Amino acid sequence: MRAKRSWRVAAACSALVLGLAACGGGNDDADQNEGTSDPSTGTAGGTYAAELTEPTFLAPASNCYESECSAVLDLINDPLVSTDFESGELIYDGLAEEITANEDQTVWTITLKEGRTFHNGEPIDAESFARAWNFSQDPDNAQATAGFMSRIEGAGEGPEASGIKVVDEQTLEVTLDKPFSQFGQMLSYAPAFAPIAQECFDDIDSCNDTPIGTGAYEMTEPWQHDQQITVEKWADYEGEQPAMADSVEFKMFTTPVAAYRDFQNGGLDVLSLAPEVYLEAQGVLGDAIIEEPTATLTYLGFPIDEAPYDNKKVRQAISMAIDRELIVDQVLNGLAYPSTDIVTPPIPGARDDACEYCTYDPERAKELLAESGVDPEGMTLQYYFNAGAGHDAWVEAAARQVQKTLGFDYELNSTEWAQYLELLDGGDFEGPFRLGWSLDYPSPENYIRPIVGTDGDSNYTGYSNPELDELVAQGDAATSLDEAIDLYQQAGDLALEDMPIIPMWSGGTAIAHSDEVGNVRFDVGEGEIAYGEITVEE
Amino acid sequence: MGRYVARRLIQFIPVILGTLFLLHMLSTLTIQIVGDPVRALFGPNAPPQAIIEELQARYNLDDPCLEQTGNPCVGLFVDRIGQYASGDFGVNFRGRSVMEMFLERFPVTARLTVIALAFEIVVGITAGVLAGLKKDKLIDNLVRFTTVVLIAFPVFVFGSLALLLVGLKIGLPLRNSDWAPEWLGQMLNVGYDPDYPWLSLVLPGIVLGAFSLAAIARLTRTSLIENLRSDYVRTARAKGLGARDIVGVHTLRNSLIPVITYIGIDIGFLLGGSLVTEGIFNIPGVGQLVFLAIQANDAPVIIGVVTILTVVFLVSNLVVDILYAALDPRIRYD
Repeated sequence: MRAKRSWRVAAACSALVLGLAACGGGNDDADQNEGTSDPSTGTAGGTYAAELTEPTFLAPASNCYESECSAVLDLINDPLVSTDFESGELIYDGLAEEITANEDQTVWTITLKEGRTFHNGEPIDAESFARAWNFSQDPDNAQATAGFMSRIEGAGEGPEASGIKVVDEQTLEVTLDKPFSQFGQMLSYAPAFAPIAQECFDDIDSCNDTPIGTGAYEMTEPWQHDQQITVEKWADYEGEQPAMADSVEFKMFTTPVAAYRDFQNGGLDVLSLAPEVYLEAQGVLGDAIIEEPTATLTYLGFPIDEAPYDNKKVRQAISMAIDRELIVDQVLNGLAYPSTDIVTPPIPGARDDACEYCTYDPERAKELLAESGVDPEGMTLQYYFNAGAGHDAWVEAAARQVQKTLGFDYELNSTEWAQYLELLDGGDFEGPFRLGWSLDYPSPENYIRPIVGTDGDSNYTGYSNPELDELVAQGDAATSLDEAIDLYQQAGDLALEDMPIIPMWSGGTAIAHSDEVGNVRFDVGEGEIAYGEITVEE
Repeated sequence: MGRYVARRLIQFIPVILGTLFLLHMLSTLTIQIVGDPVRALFGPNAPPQAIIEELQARYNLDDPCLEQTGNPCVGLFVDRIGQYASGDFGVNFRGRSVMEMFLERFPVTARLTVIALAFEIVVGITAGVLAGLKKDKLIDNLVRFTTVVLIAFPVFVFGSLALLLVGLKIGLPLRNSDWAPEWLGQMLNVGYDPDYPWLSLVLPGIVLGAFSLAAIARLTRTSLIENLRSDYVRTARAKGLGARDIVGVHTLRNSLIPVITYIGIDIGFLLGGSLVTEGIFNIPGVGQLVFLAIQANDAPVIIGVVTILTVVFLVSNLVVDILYAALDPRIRYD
């Protein structure tokens, strides 16, 4: 079972990359273990309890764009397709039999597996996908993941997108407005592309409380808001990702401390440790805590039209003046991984030596600053971060290191999240600003284009490099995955030379679990614990 | 009596309107200064503009006055009053009805209130009477010392300590043991358990009531000491009444008037839910609802719930004022 269930994509906590705790990520030790020593020794059955933050929405699935709801939805829904994190290739362990593109990567044909049904018995057919995707792309419905539909021809213009076509019961044809070789990988973000049953579509409010899904688990009792969500094994499941435990109880807590106390009390079997309780838990549990890297990137962006940040050498110098290792160890309790690329390590195509200027080298930093001709004397750098999300300490540490090495004074500015976003959208930052990014789908493209591509969704630096855009476009049109990744890497190299942003680190997560459960691991693609695989010990 | 109640009910209107206006101004200013809460639902990768606009319209946040700092947005205020007057308290950012969420949680908070009140009244008044009767003796000093400690400790510290020491260190072994009765372990639980809707609220109820307990004990004590010196007590003694009748029938009844006033205000506070206690013990009550809404900057919930709580507060105070008459025959409402 484990070999089949591979890295699917999901995290989608880009909406939530406020702090290290908000989103997860993980390691792919499972993939390395495959075939050699599979640690999955437990048997199916039993019930366990896990901690969860109240999700936003469960239905329609297209309104789910954060790791909390996808934790539940990934149990009650099968994805269309999964992506292997090692190779980046598609794995057909979900609802799709085959996904193919035409020569120029614009028309995609999705063939569905025969005989699969929703929990209520409705067939999972092309119509159920078209219904969901058309609903999602219509701006009147304000779905959180509507952005995923924006590449489809005619999306965002009305109740039906011209690019979504039902060919026959098992076949769906999607026309994109531009070539996009990573569309298959994108489809592996399950919530955005989940089908919707007619019964659910007819009464979305009640479906939100008791979703009708397609996966190995189903919700037999309604969602108790802010308290509990229970999923139970679906007896008629015919898919390829079967359930281990008979049922899972997700409990919600007001504060991370309350959750940890319940864990100590034996009420919880699995929980992600928030920074508030991490040190206390580490003292008690020690090595029993599972720590793994996530796909979340934290970086500082520069307003590259403002002096002195308009000088490439200054940006490089600042980056080299920051000792990422030290910050990770001292400020972040070691629960993060210094960046070596814009793309984070778990993603196919990520490199551990791509970023020349990400290493700490005070001498070289001073040289670069001298070459730039900028005199730090009397200059104060304004640093920005959002308040109350645990960024104060590390931003100040980085600012101090820059001051010590290069001589720039610093001033720290923190604002509320809403205001921070407004300043971002308005391009009002006058100095380095903190931001985070987490994957929507496991492709280097999903880091390069939004962060450093011209007018990228999360490009707030004003950086625009036609050569880079061209390489990304070539990657989009590439016919083989290797070729695409190579082109995206070349694009990444240009950004890592120009340094409109300085990658700081990729996140880490810590998970505690009781003796009563086994086979706990972090699924970096989902951005959450792989709940479906957890076994209950006898 | 009827006229008094009617007069009081009419007084509710300006109080509620005033509260609503304050809340409205605060939330409007927050949006104007801090920024659009709809945009903040999303991360740095902004969704298409059409979606932001649709959501703003859905949550009544599309009025252009929300972009002009200092503009009181009177139009929005009038709309909201009309909406509330028809019993519609709006929806939160996830489309759930505010009234429904409040009603779902109110019973839990009400149970917690009953436990906290019972605890603070029984223990508080007993301690106060004992201390008052034995002024400056050991018991009086003990009560005064304990109450000072209780008042001095912030609820947050007291609650966290109670949870760690009582709930975990004592309660956990009890719950795991074979000999201890089930109810005892549940009474000392670390959090709310829906299977034990009353028992699992006992520890948080005690924590919540502790502060008021101290206040009630001290009020009872002072008031009793004062009344014991009054003329009517001397008369009663001269008549040859026993100590039990003097204290139980005459003095205590009079001494309880300031205590009842305090309890009346306290009921209002307790029914509003305790943000801190409900947070520590993870109790799905009204306080938790407000706590989560503040975290999420969910103005419709904050304004809706606080308005409902204002009404609860006013009504509970009215009931207490009417109770005065029962305690003190000199008080008449007409």
